[in-house]
Amino acid sequence: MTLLQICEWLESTRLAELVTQSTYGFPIVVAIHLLGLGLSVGTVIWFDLRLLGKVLTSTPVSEVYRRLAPVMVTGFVVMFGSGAVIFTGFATAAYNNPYFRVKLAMIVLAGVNAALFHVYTQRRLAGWDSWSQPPASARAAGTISIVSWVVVVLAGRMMSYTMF
Amino acid sequence: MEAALNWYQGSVLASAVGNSPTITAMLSALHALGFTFIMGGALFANLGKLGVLFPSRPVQEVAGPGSRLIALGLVLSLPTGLLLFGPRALNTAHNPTFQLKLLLIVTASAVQFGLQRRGTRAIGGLGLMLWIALALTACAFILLE
Repeated sequence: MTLLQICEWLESTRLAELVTQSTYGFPIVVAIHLLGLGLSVGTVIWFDLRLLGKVLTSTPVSEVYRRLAPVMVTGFVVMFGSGAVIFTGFATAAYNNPYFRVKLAMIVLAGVNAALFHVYTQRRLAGWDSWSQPPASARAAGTISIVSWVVVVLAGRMMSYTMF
Repeated sequence: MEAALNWYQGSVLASAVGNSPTITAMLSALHALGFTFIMGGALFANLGKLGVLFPSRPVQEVAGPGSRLIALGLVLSLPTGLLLFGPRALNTAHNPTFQLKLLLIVTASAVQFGLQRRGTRAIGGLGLMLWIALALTACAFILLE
């Protein structure tokens, strides 16, 4: 089964029908997606700025993460959940849309960046947790995260204007 | 007011935006980025004032950067919003959801920046409620437009 065939199958599901056929289905899910975006990206940016040594420089990085994580995780669950629901309704159009591909590539980059940070950089966190200017690897992770999420937001909006 | 809206909708600028799906999409993308910054700044600044985030830190250490991110979000959202408004100025100006959105932008900004030095929980709670109401109204505007 090719990716395109999976997209075609998704569009034939009951969920896809609910998204595309109901009067308020699509705008309601889009509204939830936007709120999730504000919660998730709007919060992750503060952790990235701490990694860059720009805010809360006298607060340990681990504490910044611990305080922000509940809002951040809730936001990402809402954003990815609603995004997946929207995708089922317009899967083939999204598959063929260049902005969707950019958006997906940037989400993967942000995910890989976060995973590498947790596996490698954070392993030595105890050594630099309280530094006002974290090491170069942490600053790089913060920069990549901010850039990738900004591109996700921009490509996501461009996509909705070029898909329908 | 009606004449000003009529003039703006018929202007070269509004026509350029209205006739170009690419310009509209780019403006809308920047508008959404501004929205994200406003939400992020509002949550950070006001949850900080409420003592939910970083209760052991001085309020201004959290509220100050939060307000600056809101300001950056407004710098992105307001001009792009004004340009997106142009091609449909007459209809949109009479939309009650849009009018509520404008009122909330003004009120939330006044509370956030006018009462910035007052890092009290009440101001934090009020600010957070106003920005969340703005986000919900912005979504409702998309829903009902």
